[in-house]
Amino acid sequence: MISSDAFALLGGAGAGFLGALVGIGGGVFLVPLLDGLLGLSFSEARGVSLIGVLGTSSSAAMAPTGRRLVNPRLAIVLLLFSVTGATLGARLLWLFSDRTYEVMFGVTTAVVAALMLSRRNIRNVLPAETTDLGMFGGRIHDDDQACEVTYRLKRLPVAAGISFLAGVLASFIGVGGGIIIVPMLNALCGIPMRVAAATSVLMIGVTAIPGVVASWHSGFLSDYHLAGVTCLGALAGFQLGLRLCPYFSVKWLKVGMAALLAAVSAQYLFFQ
Amino acid sequence: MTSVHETRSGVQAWVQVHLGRPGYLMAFAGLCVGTLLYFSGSRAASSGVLAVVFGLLVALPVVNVFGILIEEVRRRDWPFVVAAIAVIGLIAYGVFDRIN
Repeated sequence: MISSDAFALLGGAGAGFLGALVGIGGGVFLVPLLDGLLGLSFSEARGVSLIGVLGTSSSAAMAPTGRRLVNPRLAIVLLLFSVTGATLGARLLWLFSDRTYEVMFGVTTAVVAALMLSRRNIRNVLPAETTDLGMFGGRIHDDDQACEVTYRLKRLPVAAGISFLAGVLASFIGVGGGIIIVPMLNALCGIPMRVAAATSVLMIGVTAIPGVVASWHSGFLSDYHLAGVTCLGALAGFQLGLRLCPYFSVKWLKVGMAALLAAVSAQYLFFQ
Repeated sequence: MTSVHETRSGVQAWVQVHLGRPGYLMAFAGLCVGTLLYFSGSRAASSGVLAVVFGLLVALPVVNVFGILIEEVRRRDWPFVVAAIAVIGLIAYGVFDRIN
């Protein structure tokens, strides 16, 4: 019992840590941990993982208010699509077997890993003097260049479609959707990695709600203690990640994430 | 068109400091209490505390959406006000549809 609690606490901490660094809820690592190591069914792991995602998202309130990396306009428009997808996904949970959800999980992580690796050098920043930033653009301080830079959203319909898909998958496979939203916004829509990550942290908590309610209603969120310990780890891990965030290079964050995702993907596609 | 950075007001920072942070600290304290109760053998009390914390964790992200809504109302940027209201409506539908 204690060892499973320790695994859940450490897994939650790792998820929260990654949430602070790359803007994901950590469900993509929590689900395999809970499912593979702690012996929960995929449906139970999905419910517990989504509670961890809520913890990671809530932790963003402790971030410094002055950095202004979150793009609230972009977040609210994309939330319209991600919450619609999550609500639809939560209603259709009964459609597939656990094995089908596992394959979805493996395919999703493989695609995201490949995308991250292939676009690892993209930074998406424009000179500070750029004036036409569009409705969803912004100006931020770039830690890597130590100066002010700007950015501009490209391909809004692509971002909307990705958000809808992320919402459906959030309910189906127990992730907050950040694992899809962050790399896609960065690779395809012109948003810098740190802005995509901060905006995603705001989005994932909201996107996770339909899946949490569906898991609770279906009885797959019955182990409150395990969910609580996992969430406690996520809250603590996020604070650690916030403090260490400036010391990590964006490029190496992408490479590290891609490697972890490839390992998770292989576990679900080939070793189940 | 002006950028996000140039037009942002302090509403979201206010929401973060005055609602988000106390909510986070309450959730953290509640999770610690719930876990301690569990290990002390009070399983029912632990489940009750943790259920309240989970409810709080569901509410906190919605508070952020309300923060964006207030900010967009202040700026009279109606398309984004409509989008924020639609998001809140969708969440409410998702929650209450299951409860009922």
